[in-house]
Amino acid sequence: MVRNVIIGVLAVALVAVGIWGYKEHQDKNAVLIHAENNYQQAYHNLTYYVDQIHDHLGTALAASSMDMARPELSEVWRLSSLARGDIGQLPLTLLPFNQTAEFLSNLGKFSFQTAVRSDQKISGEQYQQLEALYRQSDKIENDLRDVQKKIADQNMRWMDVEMALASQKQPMDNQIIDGLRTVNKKVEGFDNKWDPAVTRSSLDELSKLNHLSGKPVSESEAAKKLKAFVGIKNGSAEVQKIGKGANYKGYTVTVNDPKTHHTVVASITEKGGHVIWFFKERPVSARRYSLYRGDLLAKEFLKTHGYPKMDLVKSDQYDNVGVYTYVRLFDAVRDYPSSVRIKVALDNGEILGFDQREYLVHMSDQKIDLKPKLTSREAKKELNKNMKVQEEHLAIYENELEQNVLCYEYIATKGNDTYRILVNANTGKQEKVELMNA
Amino acid sequence: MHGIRKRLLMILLGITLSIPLAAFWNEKPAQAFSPQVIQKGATGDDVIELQARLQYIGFYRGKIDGVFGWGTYWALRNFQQKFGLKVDGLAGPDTKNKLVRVSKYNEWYVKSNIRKGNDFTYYGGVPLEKQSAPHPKVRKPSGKQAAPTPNAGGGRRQTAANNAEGNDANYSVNNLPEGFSQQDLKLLANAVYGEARGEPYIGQVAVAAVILNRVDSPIFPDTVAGVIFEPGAFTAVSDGQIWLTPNKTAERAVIDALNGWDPTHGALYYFNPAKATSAWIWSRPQILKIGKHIFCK
Repeated sequence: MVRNVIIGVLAVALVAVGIWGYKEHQDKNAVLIHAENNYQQAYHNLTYYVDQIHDHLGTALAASSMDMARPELSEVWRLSSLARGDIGQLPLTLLPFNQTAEFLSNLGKFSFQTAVRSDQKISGEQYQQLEALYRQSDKIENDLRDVQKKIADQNMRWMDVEMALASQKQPMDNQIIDGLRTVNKKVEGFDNKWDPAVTRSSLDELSKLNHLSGKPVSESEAAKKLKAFVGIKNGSAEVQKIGKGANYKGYTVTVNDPKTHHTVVASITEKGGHVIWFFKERPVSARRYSLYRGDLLAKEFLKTHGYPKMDLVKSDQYDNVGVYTYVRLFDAVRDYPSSVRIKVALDNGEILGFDQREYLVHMSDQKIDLKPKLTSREAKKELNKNMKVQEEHLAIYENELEQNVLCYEYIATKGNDTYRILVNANTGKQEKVELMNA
Repeated sequence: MHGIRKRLLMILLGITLSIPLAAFWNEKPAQAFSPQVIQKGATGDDVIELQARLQYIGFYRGKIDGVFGWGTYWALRNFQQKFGLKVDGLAGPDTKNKLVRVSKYNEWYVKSNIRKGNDFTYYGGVPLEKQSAPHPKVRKPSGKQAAPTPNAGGGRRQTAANNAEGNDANYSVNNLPEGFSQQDLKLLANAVYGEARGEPYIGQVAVAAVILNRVDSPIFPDTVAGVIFEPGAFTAVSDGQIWLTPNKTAERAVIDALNGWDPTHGALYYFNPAKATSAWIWSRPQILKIGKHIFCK
């Protein structure tokens, strides 16, 4: 009797577990299918967009005039952005697909600059580049279509790609991965000479840190330089040489202040032993200093470290910390590229952070003539009539072509919004309009 | 005897009556600004008072939020110009004295409206009850509502005891590096906390910097969310640890990274050498090691 009851109960339990397990399995499947569908959609879209990019490049080449080509190139710009968006949806982070993404990015910027920015006709050079891009996009399109066909014919799943990349069983035997690798290899072989305006990145200019003044310093000298800079006498230092991945040679130095037991981390260039930035980490207690006094302390810091005259262009308070940006002054001209950032603890006024990367990078910039050809009155004619100019300065600005240009800087308001407008002081061209949020 | 009792009663009555009055009408000069010079970018009680006073006399039309932004700056400069003061956009002693003389400040009204998250203004000559309405999205003000964002920290301190230069309640949440929203900051803080909460502070700044370097890079998506949610890009996203509640340290690390500090020298990847088995990630040119992570290009 008892036995039968137990058997009965167990049987019911077994059935219940079975049903539960089946439900779980179904739920899990639904989630997997959902994820797989997202991947499929992203990949099909990607191939479609590259296909369209190729077509529009072709149409642009056939256009009889720049006016006809312009809309086509705008379309290429839009589509390359969409294609990059889809690459970002696919599980490709650990896969060498970066060249392809970069190609699409450059292609987009090139199309934009050719179509929207430049007012002249397409130059012979640009035409040749367009032709090359047309051929190249054809290759990418075909290869992506190949992979697409394999996926469809063999019912391949992107979830397997994800698993393969996550588990890292070597060698990876997955046709999607192989196919995309091939695409990337091909793109790597493309020989494009992009305009600096297309490929510019703030990281590239760090290589200028290799050409600073002074002799190369050793690891122990670097530690000494930092200690002198932040005023720590003794204390242990740990020095790590920066690897090949960075664009310049230098050290990361960590110093322990024996007095306060706080650590200071800093980057020092190998050439000349300049402190690029340093950082002190400690809890900041209740505020006793105003943002204004922090500014005075930061200026004092600049003065004692031998900086030329600098102008405060931005100050912000985050909790009990003030962050200030200073730019170099040539007489009354603000040199925006040469900036220094300082972080001050508003509990006791200590300098918590310092960053002169931009300042060092632009130290070797060619001097430009600081006499404007236009008067401010002439330059103001270029402004929107609804703008009310509140403040004006002369300023050096690094434009999109990485050239330093002399500008009139107008801080102007329109309604409740504040703008910074930079008008070239020699040509009257508006170099930059910026809506200031903070 | 009788007289003394009567007088005592009168005094008691006077005190009990004056307590609520004092609480409601805090307009005595003693309550005005702390001695600090207020400059653009500042946050806190002094900025609230500055905005309220400038609004009272019609110079400031923006929101009274305790963040000294451009709107406050122009209002202050216009005020200085109208009243023949030095036009420098700094609220120093002269400016503050003049402002206190020509305007009124009802601290209780302003602060309680900020606390409740109401939509309100503070123009002189308009009845206060007409200038305040609950924000449409704000639920019934409860205890929790007083701290609307993670940055606001554990409840507002009473500032009366804080007699140093400038008493600060914490209203700095809206003050962010340009181009980034509160939500971007929160998402970044989540990612940093999920990925690197056991790391030294500089390692957390480094993780935030890598995310920002990726946003900059042509080979990654162009938005913070796009970079963070790229499939397989961050383990904390894959295993859901990104949804842990970040602490203040992660938030500070994010603000430092947004302000431009990059301890990684332009790294785009990082990995934990004890866990990473991908041959490809090892092949990337390395830059340096911070805590447990190796950062590379």
